[in-house]
Amino acid sequence: MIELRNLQFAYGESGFRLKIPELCIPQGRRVCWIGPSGSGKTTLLHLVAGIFSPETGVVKTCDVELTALRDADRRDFRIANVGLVFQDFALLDYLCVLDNILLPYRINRGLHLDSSVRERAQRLATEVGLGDMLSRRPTQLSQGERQRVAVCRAVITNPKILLADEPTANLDPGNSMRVLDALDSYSTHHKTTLVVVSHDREILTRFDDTIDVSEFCVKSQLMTSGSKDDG
Amino acid sequence: MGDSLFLAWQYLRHNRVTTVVLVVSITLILYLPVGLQVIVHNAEQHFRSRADSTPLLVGPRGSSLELVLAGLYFDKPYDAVMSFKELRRIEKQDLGKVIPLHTKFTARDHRIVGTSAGYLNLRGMRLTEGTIWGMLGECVIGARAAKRLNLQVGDKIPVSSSTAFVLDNPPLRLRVVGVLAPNETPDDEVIFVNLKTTWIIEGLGHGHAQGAKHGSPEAELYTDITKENVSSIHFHGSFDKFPITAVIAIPGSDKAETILLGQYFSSEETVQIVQPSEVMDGLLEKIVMIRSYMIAVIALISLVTLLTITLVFVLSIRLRRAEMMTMSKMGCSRYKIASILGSQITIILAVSAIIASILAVATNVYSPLLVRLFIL
Repeated sequence: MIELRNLQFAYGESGFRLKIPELCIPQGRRVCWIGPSGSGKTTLLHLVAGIFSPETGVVKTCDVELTALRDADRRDFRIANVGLVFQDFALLDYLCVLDNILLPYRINRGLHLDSSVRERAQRLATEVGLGDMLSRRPTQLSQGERQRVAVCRAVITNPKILLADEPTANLDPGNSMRVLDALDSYSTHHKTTLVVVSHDREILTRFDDTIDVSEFCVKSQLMTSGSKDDG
Repeated sequence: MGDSLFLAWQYLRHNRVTTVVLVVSITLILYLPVGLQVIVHNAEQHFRSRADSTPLLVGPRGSSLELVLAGLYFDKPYDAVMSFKELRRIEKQDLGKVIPLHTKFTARDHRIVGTSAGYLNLRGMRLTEGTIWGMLGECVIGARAAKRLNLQVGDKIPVSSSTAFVLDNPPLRLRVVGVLAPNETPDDEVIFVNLKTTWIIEGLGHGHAQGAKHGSPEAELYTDITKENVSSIHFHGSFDKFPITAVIAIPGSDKAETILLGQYFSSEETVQIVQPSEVMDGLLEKIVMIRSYMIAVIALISLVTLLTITLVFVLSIRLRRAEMMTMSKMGCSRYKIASILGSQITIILAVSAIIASILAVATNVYSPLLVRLFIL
């Protein structure tokens, strides 16, 4: 469950401002956030994940009030509950596919990497068609394969919320469908709340709800499209 | 920490060229001052030990350093000579032992040292094969010279004709009668003969058919000295006037040493007496000074290299900013990110330190060889 109340967020003096009186996404729902570039989609995603803190208002994710937590606690919350998929995949070139999927376990002391996790990583990779590519480097993969690795990495920790920032922006239609199918499938099987940020209206039918983030965006006359935030 | 090391190692492995360049740079920064110190220290010891075991050296006037280098290290041609009577002069006073040295000639690029058996005793040399010379024309050969020239007891080696005074005749051939054990000193490179043999090489003595007159066809000079013809060997002139390069004097007491040292102060003297240890001290002071300069230069270069390496690290971190951001968004703490970067630096420093240590140990082990190859 994601709950936002009386939320306000601004980027310094830029004039960009998000104002959200109330927004609620029940657990297990699949939601797509749409809006033009610079409307604050990615910013909102970061607020929900606890990466950013709002100026005012309350952000509650999985019944935890993130706005009341310290930076380190928000990080711990993120590790335990949130899976993130990035637009540019954000894979590490120096790690193989398997190690990229296992990365959350390597960078968080709270997660313990054992053989069962490794087996799960291999299983996830197989499910998305990467079973025989585990030892390859990201540079040896196609764009679609890379994004599927990124999806596996996001779900390896069994998150309660899956946040995907423009996951299909760099993909052709075929690969876009495969990636969305993978997200859908995981969300359905694990009753995970799925939030996908996109400006591709053709994919909206796959989701339970669609929210136009630009409705929450307040911009001053100084604000230029795309500044500070691509989302 | 294990995960940080894993990620750091994977990064370094992936960026092999950068890693190797960094490791090589840091290894050199760590090794060069130590390696230089080790080599210079060993060279000092080497020079000092040989000089310390040679109490006094008498030789022609001129550079005392050149005299010591010629008399102790036989490293380069030294044409200055004095007469054999200088040896007799010390001998007559009964102030100690004297050992003649005549180092003018070579055989196949190895110096021939004309001396007495006392020299081999002074240097504590022992034979691994054969015996010491018992007859003119026989030689005892240093270990490395024997190996390099592939010589054994019974083999013959011709004296280099460019250095020998032999008119219209092939140069004298020395017969190897003994091979010395290696002692990691210039003696290993030398061919030792009786002093009189060097006078024969010089043309001051020779042998020919009994009764033949000099210059006659029957008076053909022997190129091999054998048991059969050794009795015909004779010298022309007085031994006192024959040349030698230097005399090692081993005074019997401190008083004898003082007397000897005091005898050569006169400006009319054509010979000088030196204490090799003092001459070497002067040389070593210069070496220490040069070493200090070199260490200062290395320190400066190291500092510049270190700054460059720091810059490389900083730029590398900047280039990886997006990666750090991703990790941070995924819940990685700043401590963990610092730990990953720290592990990278630690691995590079550790590998460099290990290689530098191995090189330093190897330098120490092989320093006699290095000193011999590059300094002597």
